[in-house]
Formats: sequence, structure tokens, C-alpha cells
Amino acid sequence: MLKIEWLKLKRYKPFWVLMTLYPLCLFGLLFLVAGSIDSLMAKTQKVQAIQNITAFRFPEVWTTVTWTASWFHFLPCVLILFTVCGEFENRTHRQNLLDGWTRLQFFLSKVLVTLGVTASSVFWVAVLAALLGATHGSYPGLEGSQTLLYFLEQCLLYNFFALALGFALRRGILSLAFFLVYSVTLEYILFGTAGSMVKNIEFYAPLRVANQLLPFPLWSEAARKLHPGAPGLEVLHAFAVGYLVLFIGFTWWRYRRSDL
Amino acid sequence: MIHQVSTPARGVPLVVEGLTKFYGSTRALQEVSLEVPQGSIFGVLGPNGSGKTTLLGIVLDILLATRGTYRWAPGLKRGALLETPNFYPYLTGRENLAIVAELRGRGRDRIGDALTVVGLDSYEAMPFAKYSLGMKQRLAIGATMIGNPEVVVLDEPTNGLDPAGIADVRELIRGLRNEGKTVLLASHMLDEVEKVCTHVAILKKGQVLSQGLLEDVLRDEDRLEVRSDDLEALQALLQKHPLNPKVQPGDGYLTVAFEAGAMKPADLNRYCLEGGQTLGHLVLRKKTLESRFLELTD
Repeated sequence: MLKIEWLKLKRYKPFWVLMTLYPLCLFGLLFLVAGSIDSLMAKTQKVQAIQNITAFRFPEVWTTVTWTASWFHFLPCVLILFTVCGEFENRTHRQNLLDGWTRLQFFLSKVLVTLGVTASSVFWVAVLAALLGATHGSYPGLEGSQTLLYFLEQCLLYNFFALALGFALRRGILSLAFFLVYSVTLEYILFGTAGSMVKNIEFYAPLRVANQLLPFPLWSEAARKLHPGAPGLEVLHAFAVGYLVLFIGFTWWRYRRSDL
Repeated sequence: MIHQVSTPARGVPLVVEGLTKFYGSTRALQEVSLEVPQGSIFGVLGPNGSGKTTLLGIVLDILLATRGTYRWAPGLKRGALLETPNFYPYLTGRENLAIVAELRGRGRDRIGDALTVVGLDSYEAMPFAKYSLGMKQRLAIGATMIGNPEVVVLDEPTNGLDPAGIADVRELIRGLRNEGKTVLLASHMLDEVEKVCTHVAILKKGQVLSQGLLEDVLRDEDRLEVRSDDLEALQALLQKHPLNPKVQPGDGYLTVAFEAGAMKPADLNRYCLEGGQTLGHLVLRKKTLESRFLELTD
């Protein structure tokens, strides 16, 4: 299945653009920020201070990098939306079935692509964290690396949300517009409105659950105090798994029961 | 929902039983039942909107039936073209066929042959998006041949082709039959079905009007209009004719239908005279396949 997906993607320009843009943006941003701080410290001749910026040292660097990377989820999501909707727009998903695949095989192939894109995001984040940590006078350690697992969970939630959206709407531009509107405002509006009826429900919106897994590193404790109704990490994990099951289940259910 | 309940009888690659399909409140198929014999070229003939593509879409699992069942013989390798050719626009013809070969679990060694058969070997490195409509159709037909399938399903395969291309496709279909393959062909063109099919099912408004061997369903007929002083006696006499013609009363005359070329007007006149009926009117009206098809679908 992966081999077939690779044959489809290897000449698909948006695939390479988005797959390159993701690490490029991430590396560019973080090395720019880290470099600026380093150079500022160097100018003030506080060389020792460079190594004391804990945000870029292990174990804090895991949190810094994963939190920063969480702002770039839209790039892999756009890729997933485009690859799935492209199959529907070109009607090649039908041809795949005519040529021998079952509906389940086609669905699983897209699940595999989504997992592959997720793995790639986690890989780049891990490499970036290791590089930043190592260049700031600390040695890689497992301490704090659990945030990488939270990041994986967050990626899965975003990416499978995109997958479900692609299968449901089937049009690239429409799906992209909905994804952007939903992730930026619609979810807040919907769950904010519902929050007036069900207390604290806004904390359990799908992408909000994902975002809460990796709070802003410096303010995580302050944020918890600011939002006393916010769920704990265990509850968030449970909801994240529940939403993943829901996204994957809905996608398969809809595809299995649709005229193609 | 589709229930694939049991294996079709030996020698029958596909059995369809009571397929019904609704799009909202619109009925596209009604209780369609078919048996496609092994090695046949089975034409599904009908005017546009008669349900041909819906029928093929259901047996290929692209569409879901509202009711009814279909059963493919197990382990059968299939190649199919449904409606328009669908390929990845940014990939070349050869790259698209490589995906088809992988999907069928076949090696890529037959890709070159398939491209040659459909006359696209010179264009194999061109992206599919730049192909003309005819080239796209040719590639889709070539794709159905990848992996040496035992059954080939073709929906309007000559769409978008020039006369030479149409002739090539028909030759290709005959070639498939000679190789012992089964072909299920949907077409609205009587001429196409007549030229290549061995069996036919005629669809109209989602219902099968008639099906069987092509020569039985779309048999050419000679119709003779006859009149005598005693139409009742003449009708009784004609119904006793050894060639067993269809006799239908008209307005002051009888219409007698024989298989094309089976009865000359002079012979019929002699038969009636010998039976004691003198004909006052005898006209031969040839009935074409086209009029037969129109009669069935009107």
C-alpha cells in the first residue's frame, strides 16, 4: 500500500513543497530566535549566559520545540487535505477500486499516508530539539522528552481531523477553507456558545484538547490557574484518544456507505 | 446493501439478482437480473439515462445498491473502465499504468504491451493532463488490459474516439473474446453492440426489457402485410405455418413476421393459396435492427 502511495506522491509537487516547507519553517524560526538571543548575549559579553538560556537546553528544549512546532500543524494538514481531495477531484479513488483495491484498502492507504506525515513531523521536531539542545551546551537526555509523545498525539489529532474533513467534503479548496476557519475561529465560537449551556465544555473541543496538550512553556502553570475549569493531562489524553477513534471511525463509516 | 451470498454457477463469471437503485426518490434501476456467461461479450444496451452505468457501477462496488445482490466468481481478475478515464494528471501514461499494475498485484512488464496495443507507446512519457480526450480513453482501455484480466468491464469504451480509434477498440474487444475472456460492455450505440457482442440485455428506465443471445433479442425480421376476404381464416392458416411466424392483426390486414430472409413473399402467397386463402394485399416491410431496438425502448 505504501509503495502505491509513494508512486502517487513522488511526482506530486505540493507534496514536496509542503514536506520541505515544514522543517524549513521550523528550523528557520527556531534557529533565528536562538541565534538572535545568542548574538545579543555575546554582544553583552555574557557568554556564560548563552548556556544558561534554559529554553534551548535539555530538558526544556523539548517543550520549546514541540510548542513552536504546534503552530505549524496546518502545513501537514494542508498536505493531507490536498492528497485526499485530489483523489476525489480526479476520481482516481474510483479508479483505484476498479483496478483492484477494496474500499478498505483505499481507506487504509490514506491512514498510512497520514501516519507517515505525522511520523515525519515528529522526526523533524526530534532532530531540531536535539540540535538546539546540543548547540546550547547540554547533552541529550530522555528527561522531558515525554512532550514529544504529547506532540505526536497532537499531530495525530490534527492530521486525522484533516483526513476526516477531506473524506467528508472531497473538495480541496472547500476543505482547506473549512479547516482554516474551524481551527482559527469556528471551534471557539461553537464550543464557546455551547459553554454557556454546559459548563467548561469549551475545554473539550477537539483542537482545543490537542492544543492544551502542549501549553506555552513559560506560562503553563499560570494558564492552569487562569483557567481553573481546564481538564488535567489524563483527561486530555483520554479525550484525545476518543477524538482519534471518532475521526477514524467516522471517516471509514462515511466512505464505506457512500456512492463514489 | 449488497450481499454476496454464494458463488455463481461454474462458467458464469457474474450473476446479478434483483438490483434496485434509488438516487433520492429517483429510481435508476429496478429489479435488474442478469447472468453473464463465461467467454461472452455481454452488451448492456440502452439509451442515455437507462441505468447502464449505474448497473456497472454497482457490480464494480463504486455505487451501493438499494436492494438486490450480485456475485462475481471468486478469484476472478478484472479490468474495468467506468464512465470517464480517471488518472493522476501530473503522472505520465506509463507512471499511471505502473500504479494500475501495482494495484492489481502484477509486474510492470506488460505496461509496454498495453501502451502499444492502444497506440500510446510514443506518448508514454507525456503527463496524462496533456493527453487529448481520445488518448485518455485509449489509456483507460490499455489500463484494463494490465494484469491479463479474465473479465473486462467497459462502459462506453468508444467515447471520444475517432472512427479509426473506434474500429481499433472493436477489434480489441473481438480479440479479447478470441482469447476466451469475458467482456461486459455498456453502450447506447446499437451498431457497436451489434458488431461485437454475443449476448445483450436491453435496459430502459432502469428495467431489463429483454436479454439473451444477440440474434435472439435483436433478430432481424421481415414483416409482410397480408389481407384476404376472411381475415380470421387467414390468421388461423398463418399460425399453422411451419416457420412459426408472429401474426398480429392490424387495421384490416395482418402483419406476419418472419426471421430475415426466411420467407419470400411469393412463397407465402403460394402457401396461402394452397391453404384456400387468396391474398388481395401482400407487402414486404423489412425490419431493421434499429427499428427493433427502438420498438423495444420506445
